[in-house]
Amino acid sequence: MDGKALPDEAALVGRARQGDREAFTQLVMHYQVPLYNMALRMIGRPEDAADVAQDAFLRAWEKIRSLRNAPFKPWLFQIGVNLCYDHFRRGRRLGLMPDEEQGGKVLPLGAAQPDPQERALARERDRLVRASIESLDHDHRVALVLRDVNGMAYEEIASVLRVPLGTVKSRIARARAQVQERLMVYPELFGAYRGLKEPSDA
Amino acid sequence: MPEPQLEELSAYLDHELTGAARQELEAHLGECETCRRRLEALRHTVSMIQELPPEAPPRPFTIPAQRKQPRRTGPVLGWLGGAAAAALVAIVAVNGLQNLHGPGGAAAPATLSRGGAALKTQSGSGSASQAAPGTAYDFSLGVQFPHQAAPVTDPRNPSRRLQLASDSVRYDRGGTIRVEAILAGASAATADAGKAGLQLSLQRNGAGTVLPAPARLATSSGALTFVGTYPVAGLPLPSGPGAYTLIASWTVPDGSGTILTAQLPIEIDG
Repeated sequence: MDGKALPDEAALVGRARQGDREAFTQLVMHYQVPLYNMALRMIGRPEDAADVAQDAFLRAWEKIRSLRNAPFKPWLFQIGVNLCYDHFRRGRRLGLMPDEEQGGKVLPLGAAQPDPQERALARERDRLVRASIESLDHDHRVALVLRDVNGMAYEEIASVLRVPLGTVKSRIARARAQVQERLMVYPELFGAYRGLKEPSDA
Repeated sequence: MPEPQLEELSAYLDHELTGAARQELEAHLGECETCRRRLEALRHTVSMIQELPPEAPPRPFTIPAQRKQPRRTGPVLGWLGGAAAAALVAIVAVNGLQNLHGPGGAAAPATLSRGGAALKTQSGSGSASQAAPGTAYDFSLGVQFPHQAAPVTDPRNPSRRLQLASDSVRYDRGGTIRVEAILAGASAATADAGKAGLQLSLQRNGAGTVLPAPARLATSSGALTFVGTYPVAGLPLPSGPGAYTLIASWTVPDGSGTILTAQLPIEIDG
């Protein structure tokens, strides 16, 4: 899910820059799930997130000739993040709200949970975590998503967002603290927080 | 060391603290129960976020066969933003196709019906297959759709149009039929062709087969583009090889009972 670079990524990017669509398709195949999930956690609506990811790939294909020695992944995610911000600006004008229920198709990863009650609790926990992420302001949300959903290193995130490393560190910490504050309201679902004070510096 | 800041605990979890800072923090954690609990709570929060299951995109992502000229990022595209830009292509394509239709007989008859009663429309104009080369909508997997039915416009709502096109006129038994349907003026941005009210079918001599639902390729507030790919060998053709009519039927899901129907003749060889 974290979309680590392909072993032969530089060669693929080089071929794509020359107009090799097959090479670019391999890049799309590799990054489609992480890029889509970044957009999904940012936007909340599966269809809108898919539109953003599709448009990011189209723009990347059109502009890849301008990508010289820079790494492909931060560049692609930078396009995706900018499109998410475009989406937010448009939504502000149109008064759109994020979906409460996403209802997306979950990839079959991880162990199955056979107990229906535990499954229901896990779904509810996931819903609350998603809602807590969506409640963050855009700058904090994107830093958190790139780190904890996409698994990017701080330096990579700084490159995507074009902000200093210290800003990345600060935004991630504060975003996590805000999510934690919201989850602590539900001790029956998040027992690990029982008896704990709210995170400081939030 | 003074009590660590939240930022330091967070960066520590990410292995983003440098050597000296890390050692100082670990020394403090060894002595401070409160900070150990802060760290564990934060670790739990991070794991809850990181364990959110990844989700599959609702549709495959595609790129065009040919790179377009770099987009101009003027204020209009800037305002509409990313996702709408792809859909603009669809709208422009529909409008462009309409402009291509000069006076003349319709090679592909188009009908509009309401409440089941079929009516002839005014859409009979030049065959889209006579369109100037290079003007066809070229977006899905590099496939062009040069064989086009005349767009069908809802006379009660001129912004609502149905466009049907295929990648060829003639297919052999080993071939693949690729179909594009554009619903301009659709009210709901759904990826589900059924929910959008779109159905594709192949008919011959009064017998027909409904084609599997096509996948949505692009959307905007006003146009949905669906593309279906159908290997001929996998189709239960009702009466063997011969002349068929590809039919797109759009039951507008607004409760009005409006049905737009576009038809396209194709040949399936034996």
